[in-house]
Amino acid sequence: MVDYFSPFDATVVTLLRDAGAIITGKTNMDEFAMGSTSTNNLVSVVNPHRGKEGEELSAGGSSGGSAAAVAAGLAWGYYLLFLIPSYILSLLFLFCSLGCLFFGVNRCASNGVHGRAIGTDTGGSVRLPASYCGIIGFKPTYGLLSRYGIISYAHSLDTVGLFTRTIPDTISLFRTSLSVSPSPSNRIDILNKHDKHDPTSLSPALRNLFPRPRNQGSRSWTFGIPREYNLPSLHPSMTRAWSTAISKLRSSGNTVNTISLPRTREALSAYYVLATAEAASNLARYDGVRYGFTTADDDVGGYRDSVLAARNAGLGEEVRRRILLGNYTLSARLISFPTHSLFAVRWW
Amino acid sequence: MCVHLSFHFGSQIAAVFQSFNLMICTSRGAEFRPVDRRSATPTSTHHENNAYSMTRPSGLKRLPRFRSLHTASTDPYNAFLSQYPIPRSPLSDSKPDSPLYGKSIALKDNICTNDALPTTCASRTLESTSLPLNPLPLSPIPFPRLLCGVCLFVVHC
Repeated sequence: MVDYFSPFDATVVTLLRDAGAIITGKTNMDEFAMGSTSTNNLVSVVNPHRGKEGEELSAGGSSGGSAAAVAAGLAWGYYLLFLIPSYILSLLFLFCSLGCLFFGVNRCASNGVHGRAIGTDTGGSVRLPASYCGIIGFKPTYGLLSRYGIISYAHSLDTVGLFTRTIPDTISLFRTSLSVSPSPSNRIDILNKHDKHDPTSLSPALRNLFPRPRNQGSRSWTFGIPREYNLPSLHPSMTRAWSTAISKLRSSGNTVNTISLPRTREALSAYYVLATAEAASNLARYDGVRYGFTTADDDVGGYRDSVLAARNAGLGEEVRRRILLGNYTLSARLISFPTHSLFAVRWW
Repeated sequence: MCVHLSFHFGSQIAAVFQSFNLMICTSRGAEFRPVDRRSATPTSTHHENNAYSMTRPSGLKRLPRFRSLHTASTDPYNAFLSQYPIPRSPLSDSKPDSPLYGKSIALKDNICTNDALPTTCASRTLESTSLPLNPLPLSPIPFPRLLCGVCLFVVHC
């Protein structure tokens, strides 16, 4: 594991590269996407927007780095240039002219400012930072975007999400067919594709069942707004934005109905049970043997000691806490089975 | 000549780094040597001793030493864990008519890429991967190539 780099690109990355996009860097996040403030990591992400008194705010999480990069429009990192001594710079300079003559440098991307970033959303990890940083965050339905090549946190909840500054940018990332006539044959989807590597990716047959916008603006849609989402604790500005959006939908000829999702209240609890349980089994591989950090003294004890040391040193506090919680969930039956049978025997 | 040089400066530098393809900034680049993981003790990286100990009033953790240069210039929000320093061009076989052609995209750190960017999930457990190559192009340019470069440079100007 000393020089471990991923041997393959994630499907999302392959699709982006095929479309001509340029990967600029990897953005900061909560460790293993566990958290919603981007502070459970080595260095916290700072929101590009300041508070009223100039104080630093959280960028949200766990894809906080992606959101901050888009919100701030960060360009490429040039700072290594300062570290290069001048004589090397002059050598480079000579070499540059060579490169310029032979390779045609004009292909260099001029658009260096980030307008787009990719994140992942398990329990709000795209939606929260986009909201905190004031940009567009789009979490597609589970199964639409391939998750092949994405380090998993909770399989049944992980999705890939998009950060952009404008809606057209989101559309251009997700699919490009809105301006062209969107018949199935000439639809050019960039990311919204079936991937045979990802077993949870929706099949093409299933995708064809989805309604598609035929002509922009001519078709009306029916929207359901869950009653339970209108929380009394919501900030007034949020409520205002919410009702503005609803009235805009109505005024543009769509139908807006109130629906009820009565289990919304339990959703968060269910999420923490499911996600931690899945995380406990997903992160079991980072034991310092198959993957992960290995401590220097791992040869002293046996396997158990080395795994203990590696996981204690390698994983952060929040990650360890969630793994522990998940293991309690997963082993709940182990506890209840003997106790229940004992109780049964006693009662009998 | 000077005007000409300054006009081309940015793109030329970019091209060189691109052809070398070995310059990467990492935010955890405090140590810029390949780390021997067997000998790396938990206390030897900035994981505990720097990043966690210094806190801001708002509770956000502050950056360790090396990043200050970086933060001042391009990334004041700690948004990136690793980043290419210089604009690159899109893949040669990609579609030029695509709306994404030439657009830069940042990826969350749990999305695997097989280029020189490490995938760490912001976790120490995957930090094994400091840098694949020496980040500074210190390898000497062979003399014939250097001579060629000088000649072409003179002709070019």
